[in-house]
Amino acid sequence: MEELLEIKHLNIGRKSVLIHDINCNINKGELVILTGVNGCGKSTLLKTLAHLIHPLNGSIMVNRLQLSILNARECSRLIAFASTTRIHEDYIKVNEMVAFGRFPFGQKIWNDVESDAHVEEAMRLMKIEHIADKYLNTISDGEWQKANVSRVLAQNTPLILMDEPTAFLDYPSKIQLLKDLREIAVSGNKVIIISTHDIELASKYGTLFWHIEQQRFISSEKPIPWG
Amino acid sequence: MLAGIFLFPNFISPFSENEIDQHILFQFRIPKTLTAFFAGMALSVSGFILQQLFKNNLAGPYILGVSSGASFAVGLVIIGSSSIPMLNSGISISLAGFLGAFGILMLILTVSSRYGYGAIILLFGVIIGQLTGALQGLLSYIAIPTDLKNFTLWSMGSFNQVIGADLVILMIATLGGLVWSFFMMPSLSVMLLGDDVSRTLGVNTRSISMQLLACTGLLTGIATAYCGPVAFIGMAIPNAVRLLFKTSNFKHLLILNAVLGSCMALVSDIISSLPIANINIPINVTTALIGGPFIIYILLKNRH
Repeated sequence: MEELLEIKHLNIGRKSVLIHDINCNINKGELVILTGVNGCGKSTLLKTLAHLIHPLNGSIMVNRLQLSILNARECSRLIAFASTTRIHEDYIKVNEMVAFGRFPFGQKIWNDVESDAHVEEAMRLMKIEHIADKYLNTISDGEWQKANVSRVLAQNTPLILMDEPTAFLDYPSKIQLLKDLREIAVSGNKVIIISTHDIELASKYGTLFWHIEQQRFISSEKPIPWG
Repeated sequence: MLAGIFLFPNFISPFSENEIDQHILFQFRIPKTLTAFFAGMALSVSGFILQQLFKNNLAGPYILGVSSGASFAVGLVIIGSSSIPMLNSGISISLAGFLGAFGILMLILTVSSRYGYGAIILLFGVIIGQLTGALQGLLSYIAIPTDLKNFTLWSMGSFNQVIGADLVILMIATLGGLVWSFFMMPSLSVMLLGDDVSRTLGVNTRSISMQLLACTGLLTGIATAYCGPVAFIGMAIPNAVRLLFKTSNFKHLLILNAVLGSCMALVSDIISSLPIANINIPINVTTALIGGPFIIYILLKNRH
């Protein structure tokens, strides 16, 4: 298997160190489940990997490229990031939001939303074609999360980072989303890293498990028991 | 629309007749209409940009104190110009307007980056407006009477008396600001997804915000420098456009704001110059009379 992500001696945090000495190599085709108590640095880790926060120490390589020397445009073609917060905009449609994922590739985002193959494919994968023309503030949380995943998929990057995508979803939607993400990671040969508090559910679908405890980072191929 | 305007205000004024009509037409009507057209455009476009940047539908150049900042700077120049004659030129007035507006925008940006985008921004803007108002009061206290009259008339807002080079500056600055901001619309629309996500989509949010603030500083500053602090257009029009067209295609929204802003300024100007009771109503009275009820409607509609 081809390696996608290589983390060496990484220390992360805003000002003081939140997590010490992270070391990890990940091959393509994995769904990584990131767990840990609130405030342990899950979001900070994801944002550091997304090149939003600078690491305090150590190196991150994506596709054998050093993250720290890439500019924003180059990063946006390698790494997609989705945050927890749902946006409430009155007059933006689902397909328009999904098309934002094509922004790094210089596509004209407002024209020909329907005719963009990546946007169409991303919405087909998440089965949201039927709500393509709905406004964002009229859809349910589950539908919004699917639209959010579609936007990330439209970006078509090898590495996808999602901060608590299962939050606010009802039980069946959580299962569906995790199933979809695993399918996309494995068959699409991508690495998807998600943080979540739905440990029992996520342990069924994840292929790799990260856990943060007392500023330490643990990686395992089996679900990590809390304690 | 345009043609109707410069024929309509007071009675009729045919195309080529006697010299007096010609004079009125070219020295007053046409400049005035053009001024209203471009100032309206500038104010509504800056209002639109500010509302998007600060994620607040009640933002606008007037409420955020940007107009007051520009007024204060212009007041300094107008009142200072009697002692330093060099200052009394269109360029120095427009520069003062721009710097005043941009200065306030930078202050507001600092506050918003630290304390968030909500009510605090509006509160802050209103306080800044009051502060600069007080400083202006001080200024007029020490000013000599002729300067004071000029300044007071100017502060009521008017599309009159912008002619020649001043009009050209207003037109160029407005069109320049419009074109400049037009190219940033795709990035601004991606910023709907929030700061973090838009940065991972390759948008340099800081640079875009700064450039857009410079644009709004330019647009509001110049319009205010020449027409006085005109209220309501900058806040009312972007809301009207959103409600009417229900789109988030920012390129379209920008153009629609420009067009509707011009229309509102022209209509306000016509109403202002209607011969009611033999006085010309100040433009701010008209825009407030149209804009005020409209904003109340927006507030009530969003509160259901």
